Amino acid sequence: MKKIVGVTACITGIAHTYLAAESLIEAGKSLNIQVKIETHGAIGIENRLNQQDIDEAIGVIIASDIVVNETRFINKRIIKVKTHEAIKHPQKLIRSLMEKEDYHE
Amino acid sequence: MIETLIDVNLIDLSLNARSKDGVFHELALLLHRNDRISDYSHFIEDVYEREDMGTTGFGFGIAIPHAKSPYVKIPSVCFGKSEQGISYDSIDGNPVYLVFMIAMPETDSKQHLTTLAWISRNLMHESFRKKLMEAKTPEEVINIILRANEGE
Repeated sequence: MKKIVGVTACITGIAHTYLAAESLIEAGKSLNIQVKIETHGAIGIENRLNQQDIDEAIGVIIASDIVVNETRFINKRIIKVKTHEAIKHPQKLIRSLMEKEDYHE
Repeated sequence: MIETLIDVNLIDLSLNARSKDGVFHELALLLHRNDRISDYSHFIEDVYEREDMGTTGFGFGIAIPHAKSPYVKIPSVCFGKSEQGISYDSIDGNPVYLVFMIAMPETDSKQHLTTLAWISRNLMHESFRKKLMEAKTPEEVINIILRANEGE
């Protein structure tokens, strides 16, 4: 199964981090793509991506309302959006990443 | 853990508010009456502080206004339902029918935050949203949330 990874983060770390994460995971299921999302919330970092996850991934989705360090993802195709976009258009985001298209909101 | 955050007294299935400001006041008042917050108007200011950074109306007819606030006495989730719909400035432009207002103190236990994260995740599932939309009593709402929690 093809795989992508992502990071979600929001301002208070209470709600949107998890809304966006779940939205991407559910969209992955319907597109038959494995999606692993690292969440940066008020609890701290959960479901941390390891090097193998990153190596195996076709690309990275960063859905965040705050700054996320991207140095781990050097040489990877990255799409960066706000959490709202991942909640609203998760399938479109994943398709753009898979098809290497530029993403337009 | 969810039982400490919400109970039947924090659920209002017939909201009167038609606007975002109206529903903030209606639900904050419910929190205040149940002694969950210490200062009603300051708490609302804190909810607005978060809201002003981006709407919490995330689509699907649902909004989750929330604040980490020093005016929160007991970490709480307050739930309201509107028959007529609330004008909310949601990301999909549609009215809001279900509102979860989350009141958190400035520092809180990992368990509460984990519960809130889990509620948010469930809200992305259509079956969970549908059950909440159809709930007729506060007891039913509590049961839907508890049952979803057990299924996890």
